[in-house]
Amino acid sequence: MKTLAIVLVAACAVAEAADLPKAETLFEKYVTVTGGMAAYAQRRTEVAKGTVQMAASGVTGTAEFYSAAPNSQVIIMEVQGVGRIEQGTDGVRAWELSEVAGPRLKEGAERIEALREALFNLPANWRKLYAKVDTVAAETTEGIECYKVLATTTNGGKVETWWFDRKTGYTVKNRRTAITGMGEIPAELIFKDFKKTGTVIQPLTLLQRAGGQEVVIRLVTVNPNAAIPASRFAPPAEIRQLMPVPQTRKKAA
Amino acid sequence: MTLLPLLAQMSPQERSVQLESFEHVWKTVRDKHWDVRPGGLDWQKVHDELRPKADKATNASEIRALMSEMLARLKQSHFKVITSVAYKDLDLDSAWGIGEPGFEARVLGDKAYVVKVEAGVPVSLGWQIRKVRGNDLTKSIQVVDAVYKNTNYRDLRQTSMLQSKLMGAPGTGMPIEFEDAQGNAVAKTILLREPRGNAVPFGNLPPAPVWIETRKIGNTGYIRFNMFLDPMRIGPQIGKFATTTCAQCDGIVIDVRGNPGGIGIMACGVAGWFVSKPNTKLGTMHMRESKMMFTVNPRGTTFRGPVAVLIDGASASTAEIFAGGLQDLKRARVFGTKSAAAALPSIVERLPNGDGFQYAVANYISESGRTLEANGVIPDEEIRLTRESLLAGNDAVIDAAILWIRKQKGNSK
Repeated sequence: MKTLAIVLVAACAVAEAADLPKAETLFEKYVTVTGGMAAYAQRRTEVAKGTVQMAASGVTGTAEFYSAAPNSQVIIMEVQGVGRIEQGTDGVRAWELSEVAGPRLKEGAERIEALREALFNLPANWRKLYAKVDTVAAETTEGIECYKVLATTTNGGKVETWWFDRKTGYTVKNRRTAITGMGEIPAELIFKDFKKTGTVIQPLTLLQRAGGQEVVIRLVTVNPNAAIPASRFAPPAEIRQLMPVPQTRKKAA
Repeated sequence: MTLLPLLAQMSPQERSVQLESFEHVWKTVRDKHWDVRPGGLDWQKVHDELRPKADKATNASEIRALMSEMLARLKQSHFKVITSVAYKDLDLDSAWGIGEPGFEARVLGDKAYVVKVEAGVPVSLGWQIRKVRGNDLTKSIQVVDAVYKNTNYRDLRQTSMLQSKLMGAPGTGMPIEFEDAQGNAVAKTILLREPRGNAVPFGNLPPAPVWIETRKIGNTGYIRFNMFLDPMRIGPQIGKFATTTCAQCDGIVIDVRGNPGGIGIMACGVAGWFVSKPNTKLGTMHMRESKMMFTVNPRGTTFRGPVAVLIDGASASTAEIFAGGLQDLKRARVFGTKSAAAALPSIVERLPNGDGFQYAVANYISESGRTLEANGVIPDEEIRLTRESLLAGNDAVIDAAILWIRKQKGNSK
């Protein structure tokens, strides 16, 4: 009888899995419901500004995001009591600069991760990020009925988890292990307040849970295709000091 | 008939808010303490014992006392309730109403002494402080000792007690009775000054005055700052002094005695001016489900000469992470007395009743594997301030550090 019950449970599980939509379909649906590939193709840059808040500790500040295709990005936060924190990539190098922790050139897996995260029009480029995606369950998370997808990254085969809203097709949550200067830290990113900004719909509130803390970023203005000078993505002087001196200059010296 | 007992009663709404705060404190420790058995305790049992008492409490103070009792059972630093009254007293405007006497004091043995004096203040190093505003200080020292004598926090609490006794409205006179070198009583009225530095807010913490002092003693650099806050001002000043003003110094003394800490990661930012080797760590913060390494990010230009760090029993938290980390990396020699052993990374929230609630979210292990909480940083050279050396105008801890630096000349790292 017990064995029969196990077989029954297994059979039901198979039946449920067979009913789940393919993960590829969920990613493609997200692209479609947020504007479609053509709409994403029209966006080449974005400047977004908003606020950052660590509600529990009362720390607040401002956040600015400068992004350009294919994978240049600079994020500047001005946090009360902490000062300026800058993270950036110029498509090749990646760095972090703050007075509270000092300047840092990202290397190895952290650099590759930063370049992946900076990929412009990220939803439309999901196939560049994941080698394999599988829908594994239908479940409720953050109070929303979702499909749960395991996505294996193209770099290093790490597994991230995505939750897609069953009704709207929007992303609800992403869970992964973030590679940071402080080590590998489990992190969740929750997406809220989907609104149209130019040609595509995107979440204007991002809630990040990591290290027992919640950080909320609210975008107040989003300007797609804003003019951004190339110098915006150049590493700051403090970071350039850390870069290896090119061989030709070494020889000249 | 007296109305006072009635005034002390809580309204149903106030009771509800106070009990909500009690539950919030208990649940936060249950959910966020790095140990599933916080402090080795059965946390549910603690709740089941104290909650009925909170239900029977007749006023807010009783419930607040129960919250404090609950947190005290953890026997760990950085768990406390900060009364809403403290916020009112220490808000940005009134913080500047808290004057300082222009000298610093420490309890050495069972008496309080002047250990640092600013220019123009009519007292001398090594004078004993007998009475403040007519109140015998020895009694206050005994009260603190009664609670903390055999704990790690004794020096920290004695220093806090002295600081609070010696504060008042700026511009007013504070009558203090000293005992001079000859044992004579000296009565002075000390004019209280505006606090040094800038009042710096950080999240839910009450604003705190933050200052930094840099100077050269002979050809040795000396840096002292009172808190690890205001990184945009403190960091560049340390960097400029260490890599420009003092670039050719024999060594640098970094004095974090009396420094109670601040932003944890700032220890890495400051260390980055003195550590040139990449990928070095001061230690690791261990949370329930993850850990964070305190990695030092070397600056483009660093100071490479000998570094001495000075600590005492009032050096706490980030100051211990900084001193213990540089000691583990063998980048600094540590002088003074054992630190406060209060090194848990924490955050401060506001409770529904308006009080602040500080709670630790992680344990901190230094790079050599030491748990700084409860153990503290043990100096490489234990040097105690003595009344004799103070009366001679000397700071024995600074003197020992400078002597060591001079012996290192030529052994730059």
